[in-house]
Amino acid sequence: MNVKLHAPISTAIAIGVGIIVLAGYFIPSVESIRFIFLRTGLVLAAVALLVGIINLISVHIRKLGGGDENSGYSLILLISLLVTLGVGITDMVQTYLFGQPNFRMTNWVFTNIQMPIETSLLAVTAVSLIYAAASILRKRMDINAVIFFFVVLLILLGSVAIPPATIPLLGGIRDWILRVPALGGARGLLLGIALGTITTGIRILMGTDRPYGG
Amino acid sequence: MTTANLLDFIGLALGFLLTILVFSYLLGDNPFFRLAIHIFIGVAAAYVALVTVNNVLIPRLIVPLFQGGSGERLLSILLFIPSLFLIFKVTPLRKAGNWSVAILVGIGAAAAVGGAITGTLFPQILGTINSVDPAAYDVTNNRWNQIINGIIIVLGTLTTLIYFHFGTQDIPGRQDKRLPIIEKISQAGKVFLAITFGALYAGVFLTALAALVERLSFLWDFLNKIGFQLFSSF
Repeated sequence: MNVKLHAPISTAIAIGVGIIVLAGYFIPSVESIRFIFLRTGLVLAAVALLVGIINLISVHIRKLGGGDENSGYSLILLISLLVTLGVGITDMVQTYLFGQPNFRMTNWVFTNIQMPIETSLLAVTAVSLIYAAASILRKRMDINAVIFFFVVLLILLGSVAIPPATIPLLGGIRDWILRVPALGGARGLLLGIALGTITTGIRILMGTDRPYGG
Repeated sequence: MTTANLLDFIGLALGFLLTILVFSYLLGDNPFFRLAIHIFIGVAAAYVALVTVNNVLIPRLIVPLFQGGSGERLLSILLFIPSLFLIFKVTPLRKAGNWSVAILVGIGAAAAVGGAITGTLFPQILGTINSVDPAAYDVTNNRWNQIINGIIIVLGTLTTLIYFHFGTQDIPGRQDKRLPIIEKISQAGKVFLAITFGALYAGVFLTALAALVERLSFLWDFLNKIGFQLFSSF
């Protein structure tokens, strides 16, 4: 077997750090070291997120310079990003340097720009979901599609809480579906996800997968 | 109108405009919707950056450096080194940041494995066992109901898990196929998956419906506020 190791130092660091953190879950004497490493991971994840945002800015600056037909949208994105950052940094300076802890302007941006768009996107999803549910039987008429459709229908009808439209029997059926067969399926899914996570994690801890450029 | 009132009104007007821009997607993809989405991405990215700096980097990296004890200061200085190297990932010297990413990946992988074992695997297996364990049954409820429900839960869990088993027999000259028994059991797993996804779908739909009602109510209130009393009888 010919294994070519491109980045032995990075691989050794990832394996070493990972084994110490994993040992901290099961060996009480290593727990305090695990917490120090988890704090390190938290700070590094925060810096990585900032790196991601810097990358987003550089990608859109490149789009602006390249004369892309959608460069107008990139300009809008950059303006909204930089204005929000400016507002937030002003609030932070006021809080930490002048001792006036209020994030009024940042909260204003969140309440009046971000939240309306987020909620509206979710609202638009409602219409898309109705369309998808209506077209599922048209596009794929098999036993699983029929079961899916009727479960959706039963749960929606069983969830009606307005008194004249409330049907106690449907409420009972809805509760049973959620408590028994849906719970069984969800447990299977969760266990599958956990097993997949463990497999992927162990591959990284053994150095088989090296998503850090190794 | 005071400054605070004016700012509130501008905020409401902005919210109204952005809601209309997003709702324009119902007519199909269009430049107004894309405009709203790009504003959203910019604002959300900046907001996430601000929250990250304010809630993580300042209290866990900057404050301990100036106000912490000697141990805290040393740890903060040690944390600064990989953090600085991580920033190299957006420069032409991106390889210099690989070891910082390796620390992050190692910690992340171990935390994911530990979390999956202690937070999902053990509790879910225990929950499945308890559903068929007579000692864990509720004495106020019908025993037979609990037994039947428990058996259905165990069947659902096992058949769903088996559905995701994609191992095949290696028979020369034949197309790779799952074992017939696995194939049959996975059919039952598919039924449980359809029920689970149906339940999840209905839950997401109800949440989206609540958001739709909230947005329509907001639009209605705003129109009334600016004097559009078209439907004042309501």
